[in-house]
Amino acid sequence: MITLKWALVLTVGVRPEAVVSCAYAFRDRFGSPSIVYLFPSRSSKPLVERIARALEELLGDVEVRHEVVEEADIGKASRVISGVIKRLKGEGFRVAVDITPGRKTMSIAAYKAAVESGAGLILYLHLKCREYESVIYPLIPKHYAQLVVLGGAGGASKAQG
Amino acid sequence: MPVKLRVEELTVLANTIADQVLEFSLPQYRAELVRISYVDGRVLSLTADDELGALESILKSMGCLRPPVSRHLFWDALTSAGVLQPPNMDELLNLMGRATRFDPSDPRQKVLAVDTNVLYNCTLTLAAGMTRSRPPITVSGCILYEIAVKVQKETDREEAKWTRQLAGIRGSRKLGDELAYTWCLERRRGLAALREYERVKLTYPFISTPRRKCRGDAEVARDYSRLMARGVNTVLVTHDRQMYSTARAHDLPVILLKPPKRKLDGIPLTCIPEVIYHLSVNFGLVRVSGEKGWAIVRSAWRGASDEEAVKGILLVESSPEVEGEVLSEVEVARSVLRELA
Repeated sequence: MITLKWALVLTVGVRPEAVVSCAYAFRDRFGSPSIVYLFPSRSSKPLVERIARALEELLGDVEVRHEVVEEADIGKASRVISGVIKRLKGEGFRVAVDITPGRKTMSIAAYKAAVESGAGLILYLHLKCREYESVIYPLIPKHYAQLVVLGGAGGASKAQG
Repeated sequence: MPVKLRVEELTVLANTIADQVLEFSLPQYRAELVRISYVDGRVLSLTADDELGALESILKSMGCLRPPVSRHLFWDALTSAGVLQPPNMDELLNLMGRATRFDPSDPRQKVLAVDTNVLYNCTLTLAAGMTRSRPPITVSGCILYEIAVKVQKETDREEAKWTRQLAGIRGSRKLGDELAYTWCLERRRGLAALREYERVKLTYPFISTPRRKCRGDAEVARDYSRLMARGVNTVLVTHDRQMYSTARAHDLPVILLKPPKRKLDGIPLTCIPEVIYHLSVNFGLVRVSGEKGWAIVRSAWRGASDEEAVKGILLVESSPEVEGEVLSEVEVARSVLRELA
């Protein structure tokens, strides 16, 4: 049986900790992804380099790619992300999309793209305490951060914690 | 192998050893303190008062006049950790708000002057989590001198003697001996107060009066009165009734923070690292355990430096089944944070 490798798709907002926390939570539940695909906006693009280095420390042998999306244009951003998800699937990856970081418009675009292009998992890292918004995942009490599976072709059809 | 952790890294430890339940105990005296739910922080059982009361009684019956173990130290740790609050904390928060806003009817600069116990109780760190107001804070040089004197005293022979005896009778002779040869309570608490002083300097606009050799409430009040005389609108904040009276006698406006009620329904999970830290300061070491393992957390050990203590660095010895995981998770978290910085 061939086990497909994971590609993790993440939007990027102004808090790099949120992006890293999502990757942490994913690693703990599903194992390390082989590729992390970041979608920053023009304003969060300067964070990509730092995030990529942090992800390499966290996940070891991981390839980090990125593509800037228009944060205020849901349709356009969604088409870009959708294209990437399809491409990753074509390359033989199982694709997980985490919609936690970034502005709401970016999360909506990522969710729409994940549904339309049949991503394997759609995820949301539910922080139960706002104090931890700028804190990385292992420094948050475990019951205060819950990785929720919102859906996805390979995931649960209903939301589950 | 023991590992040195910063206070905030203790969450990694708690996450590794506990799933549903977290317990705090003093293995040196075989005393259970409190068991909480690690899901929501609810107290499942609280035995600290009974256990520590019994230890105090044993020490007193043996002729110890100043027991190094007491119920107060437990409740003080919870206060310093921000779990318990003065019932009139709102008064301080209101004052902080007023001191930050410009008031055309009194345009003088408003400053909050703190008493020693405000540093010991970490009141300003607690307040910083409850309001966005960051008024200027002043700490008297007399207070810093007072703490510096306490910190200079490394060991206390009487305290060491009773600690060793009590541990020999009730708990672990080995841990008792170890505690007897490390820093005494006054030094550990003084260093914790200096850690709070550093946090206050980072969080608030800060003024200090010149450091000089002086002691006592009257000297501190006089120091702050001098600021008043220079046109600075100074309000003293204290937890001490005596200091309150002294300040009033010096015509110094003052807020007296009342002692918190000694009642514990839960420990917010956000406070767990600080609770572990302050229990380890007040008792020398504390054991934290969960379903998956345990750890002994020390605030003082042979070779520990003042710098480490002021930074809040603790020595953590975990049970073999979690030791590797704690170490690797902490190392990864540190590298990740380094890259994000």
